[in-house]
Amino acid sequence: MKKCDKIKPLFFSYFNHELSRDEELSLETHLQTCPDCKSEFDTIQAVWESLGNLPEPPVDPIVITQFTNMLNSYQEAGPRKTYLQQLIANFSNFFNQLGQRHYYPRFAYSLLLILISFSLGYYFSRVSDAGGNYAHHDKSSVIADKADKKDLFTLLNSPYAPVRLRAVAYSNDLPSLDSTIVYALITTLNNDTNDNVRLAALESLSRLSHNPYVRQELIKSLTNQESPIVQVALIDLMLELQEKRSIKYFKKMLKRNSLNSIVKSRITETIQKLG
Amino acid sequence: MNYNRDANDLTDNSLMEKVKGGNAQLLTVLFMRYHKDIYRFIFRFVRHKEESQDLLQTVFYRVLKYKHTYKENYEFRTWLYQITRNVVSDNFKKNGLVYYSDENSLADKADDSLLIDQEIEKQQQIDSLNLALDKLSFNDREVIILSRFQNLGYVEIAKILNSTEGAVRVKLHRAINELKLILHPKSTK
Ligand SMILES: [Zn+2]
Repeated sequence: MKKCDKIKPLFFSYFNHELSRDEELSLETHLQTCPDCKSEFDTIQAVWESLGNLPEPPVDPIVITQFTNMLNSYQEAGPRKTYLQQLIANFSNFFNQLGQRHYYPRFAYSLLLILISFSLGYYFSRVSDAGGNYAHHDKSSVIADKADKKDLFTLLNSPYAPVRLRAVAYSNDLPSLDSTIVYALITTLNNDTNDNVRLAALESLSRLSHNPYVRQELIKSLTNQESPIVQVALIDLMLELQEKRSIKYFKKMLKRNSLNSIVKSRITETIQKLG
Repeated sequence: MNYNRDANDLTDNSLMEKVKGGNAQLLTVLFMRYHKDIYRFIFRFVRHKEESQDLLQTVFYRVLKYKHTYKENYEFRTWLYQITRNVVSDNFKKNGLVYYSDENSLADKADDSLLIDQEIEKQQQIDSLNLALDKLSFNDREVIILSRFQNLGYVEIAKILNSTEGAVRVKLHRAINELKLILHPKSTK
């Protein structure tokens, strides 16, 4: 029995001819005397060989062109992270200044969205996003432009952030939104992995804030957000809507240790204005 | 491709050192050396052409993005496979376990009456094997793909998986048994 446990792990090295002559011999001898191991060896060998019969996936030479494009964009644009970091730093400064000068919050929010759209347009035209869908943005813009409501739902669930962003933007142009799309937008606002997509969903939903359901979901979303940019946008919206129910959620947020200091002061300020 | 011809004589590691030093263009040489293996590795997981092409670019993009983390004593190929593994696993986490049907699967060829019986049988075997691989866990699939299709030794696979040679053999043994059970559910252990 002990011998069997030592022999079995050697099967694969045997298939790959990685064993020494001695090891091979001892394995073969054992198989002749142990029917248990022999039968396991045979079935495993059969599976192993059938795997070997799977055809080799063909590689389309277009990947070389794609690589060259990726490399050129990288060299033109520089590392992406630095760019995003700059972007975030700019936003933080921007908010700081706004906070000090007491600009009308709704204006700040709109301006921010314009800034983001502008930056993203520039950004996605150059560098791939985190998912690496480098070659996708051209194709996706065509798809999104042709989208109807049904497609929109699919596009909102695309693995590619630029596609989702376009889908959300497109929802603004529809004459009416049915509850499935509203629900999808709320899901996007709360769960999308990309800050910019969540922001865009927020912008779309804020147009529907007269709807009690949407408004309730917007309030609840406060505690779902981790990103300072989205948090600040939501806080400003609450102030604009004069939504007193948000105070309870603000207080929950203030209890978090991880809360960004700009967001923190924003909340304190807003609570005062609402209260 | 305008890299120096001599660059082809450089080892992987010294090329990567130069890439790290700022000569991103030399990544082209490494891309030409490994893109087929890496593409096939990815394709065995996602089995979708465009998706695999995207992920392939992501892998090499990450090589550039994380070039500062490359250390002289790393074996480039091992490091590249580790990056690929992360890219594929991120993709799985993001998209969930979504499977694409194989573009060459029998279902798509069904109306092709020119298929002779032998070909049909062969294609059926391929389809059922691919289906069975789909049903495996990510880790089981990974160890099978690495050891069966990538011509890597167990020592290197162990390094890629941050494991030991012995543990890899045990994992592989278990994974193949799992696959066998999916293929032939009636057979006993
Ligand atoms: Zn035995």
